[in-house]
Amino acid sequence: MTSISPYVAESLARVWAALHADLRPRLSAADTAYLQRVLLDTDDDLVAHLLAEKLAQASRAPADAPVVDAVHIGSRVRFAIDGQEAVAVLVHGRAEAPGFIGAASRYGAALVGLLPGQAILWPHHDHRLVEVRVLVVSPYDRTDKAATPLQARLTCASG
Amino acid sequence: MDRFLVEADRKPVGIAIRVRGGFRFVASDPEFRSIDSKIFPRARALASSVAELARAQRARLANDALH
Repeated sequence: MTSISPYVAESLARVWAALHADLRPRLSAADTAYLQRVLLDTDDDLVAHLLAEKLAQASRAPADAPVVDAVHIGSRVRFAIDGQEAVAVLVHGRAEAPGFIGAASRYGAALVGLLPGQAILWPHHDHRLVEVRVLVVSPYDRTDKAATPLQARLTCASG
Repeated sequence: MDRFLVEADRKPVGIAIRVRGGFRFVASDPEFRSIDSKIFPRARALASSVAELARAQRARLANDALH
């Protein structure tokens, strides 16, 4: 896969920001810090710039106030990527275990901070933009077996 | 906010500021002064430079401890 130039990524991010001007993701202090680390760690320049845009327009919850309505690390999410639905628990790292999606993975980073019903365009590993839509967010119940494997279709933030 | 905390060995060493042309590193730790104000087109390159300097600093400290 040929990577796109960082300057092209920067320009695309400005277009993306204009398209998602009303997104206003909701982030906890912990999720903000985590996404900043993902941004600095990803090999994908476009993902890095889009995460920077997402962080720039996010509303921040106080450190002692958990974010419960938006996707956060520890929540169970029903979502759709390019129309394909899946359910997973958002966890730290680039998880590949069935039913879990890492917040440092390509689509995990896209989901963090989104509210049910919100959708964003996000680069697939081939740089094609696909729609990532959050359908339902709920607390993770450890006895819940309903999460469905999706990792075969997902790739980590480094591609 | 287009500013991101940059850590090395879990300690804050500066911030990355998103600017036209990439990400500018602003050092808060004097050990990272050599890349202070440098603009990196890639965020990952900034993080790699910081990690490289942190490694060199660790090696220097280990060497000093031996002598």
